[in-house]
Amino acid sequence: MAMKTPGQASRRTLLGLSLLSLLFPALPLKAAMPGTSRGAVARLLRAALPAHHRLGHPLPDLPMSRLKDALVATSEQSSFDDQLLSRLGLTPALCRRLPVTDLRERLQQAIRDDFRQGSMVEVDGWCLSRVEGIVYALSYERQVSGHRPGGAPQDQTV
Amino acid sequence: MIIDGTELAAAADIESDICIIGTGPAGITLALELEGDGRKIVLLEGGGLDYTDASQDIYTAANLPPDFPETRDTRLRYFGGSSNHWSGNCSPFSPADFEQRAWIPHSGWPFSFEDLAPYYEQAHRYCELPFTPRDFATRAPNDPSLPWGRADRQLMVATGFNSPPTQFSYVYRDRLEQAEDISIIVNGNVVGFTFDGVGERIASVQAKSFDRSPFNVKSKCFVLACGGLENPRILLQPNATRPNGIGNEHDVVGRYFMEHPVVKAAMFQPSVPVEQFLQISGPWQAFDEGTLFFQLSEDAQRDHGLPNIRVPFSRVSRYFASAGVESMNTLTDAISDGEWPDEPLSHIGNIIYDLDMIAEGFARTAFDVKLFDHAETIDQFFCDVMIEQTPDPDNRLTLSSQSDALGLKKFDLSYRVTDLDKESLWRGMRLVAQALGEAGIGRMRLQENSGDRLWEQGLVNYGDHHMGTTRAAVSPRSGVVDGDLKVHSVNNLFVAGSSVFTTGSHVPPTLTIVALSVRLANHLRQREAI
Repeated sequence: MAMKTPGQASRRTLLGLSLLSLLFPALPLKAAMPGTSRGAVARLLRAALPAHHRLGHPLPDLPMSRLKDALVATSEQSSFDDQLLSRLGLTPALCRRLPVTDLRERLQQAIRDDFRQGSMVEVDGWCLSRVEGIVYALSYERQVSGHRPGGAPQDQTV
Repeated sequence: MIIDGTELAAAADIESDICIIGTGPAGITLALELEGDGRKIVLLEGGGLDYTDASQDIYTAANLPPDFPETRDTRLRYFGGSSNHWSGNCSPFSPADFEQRAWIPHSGWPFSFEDLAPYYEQAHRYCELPFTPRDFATRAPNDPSLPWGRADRQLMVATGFNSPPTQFSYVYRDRLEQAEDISIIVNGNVVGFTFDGVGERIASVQAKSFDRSPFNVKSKCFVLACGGLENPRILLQPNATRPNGIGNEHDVVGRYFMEHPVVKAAMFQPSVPVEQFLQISGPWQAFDEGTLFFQLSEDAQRDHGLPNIRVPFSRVSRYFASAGVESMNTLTDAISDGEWPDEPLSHIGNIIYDLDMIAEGFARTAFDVKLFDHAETIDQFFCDVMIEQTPDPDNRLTLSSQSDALGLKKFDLSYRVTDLDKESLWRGMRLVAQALGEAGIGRMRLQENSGDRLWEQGLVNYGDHHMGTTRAAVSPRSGVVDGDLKVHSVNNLFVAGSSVFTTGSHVPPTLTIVALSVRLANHLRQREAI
């Protein structure tokens, strides 16, 4: 049996809390992921990526598996989780506390700011804001590792 | 009055005050503007009143670059010129087009946009546009209520208006025929010029029909208006007085050839439901009097050191945009050539993913039947981007050793899209993607990854706009004509049409060609010597 790392919840627990979170969007996941960026970001991703909805952009043929490489190639040293929270001006605690609508607004504003400042990432021709690129990459990473934070995108490049 | 050159006696002398060579939009506009001015005008056309293969063959080049459109097919050589087949797309040039831009070598017209602007109003009337130039600014662009109106200063929305399109031969023939001071000579191919004794003025032009001896048209003033390829070809022909070609003392005639490359540079995915996008973009998609497109603002051009680009949006169906159909075609082509394409698994994956569209394609091709309604669903847009090309003296037309049916030397064309132009396109498109992203309209997917294939395998189209070969410049060392469009080294020879463009802008040239002819007519009216 695989060992759990500190702060990592079991899939069953996570699924249960995710369902609860869907019913009560503002419900924090603090119990499952205490004090970590990762837990806060999971909530952020759900806010960003409701089912069938990639921040409002259906992006056909977006190669999710290569997106991470493109981000890493131009990345800061910190983890994507920390980068995302930092770009949105959030701490893990604040991320858990804010209503989902506020998180979405912050995301959209960060994306607009990215475009305004030319902070973009390109993969296979797609010109994305760096923040949205991180959101997609994290979402894909969690999908691959078994978590599905709110209808994560599929890698459509087959 | 229309005179057929085939009926003129050999060595006949025809007298005129102004001889206009060429009956395209430039020549016809000039004649109409000078009508009723008390001067005798001869309008000389090499072709007939209708199309003939013999006349059209004269436009055949001796040598063209690979993938460059055959010049015999892209221009028309009979009364009315290429206005007999143009699409009618009209946009004025921008003020920045006329300025010397440090980041664009050889830019800078010898006059400003403000010098030309008053003549656009008349050009609108000749091209039968329903609006005045002021409407370009007020009719639809940059509406702050539209999402792209809120895009930052890098991006502007501009409007191209649709001419019917005006066929100048059809619309203006009666007026030209009835004008007492205008004579149209058709089947009068220019084969030479004779200078006066001093050698500073042209005394007469020799013209002929295909099977007759030349006749002469004597005139106080000559205007060459035969298009961006024929104007330099005629000037470069050997001449007893000017052995290096007329106006070619500094080896400039034929250089700086420019086109408008049109590249399928990007796909655009709206970020809102397509129906909503179509609704909010109604004016631009359903604008039956014109087409809206994005272009870079003057600030963006200056700040980023870029030439301009014209970025229209074309709706495409799901079938047309199908990656599976494209992959199927790629696989089929490669296999039929005995090759295996790059990344075959990706192509196979696309085909599997898009099986319904593959079936749709098969049904359409084999049985001319449409299978699926959703194949016609619109959810993407393509951007066929028109590029402003940097003037390059090495893009040039020269005379060939081969001769045409009239005994004139044919031409060779050396031409390429420079790396600077290619790089500028993608940098400009990133600014467009950036501004559209900021405005929350959608996301761009650039086709830059197609690399050289995009430019070398016939995927690039051209506007068939031939420009710059007798460019206007203050100095005869850098241009053939001056700010009045007079050939620097000949006192009574002028040039009209897109060959005088110093830079070519990013929009179709016809409206500006016509405006320049109106301006030239104004200048000729004021010259006492004519």
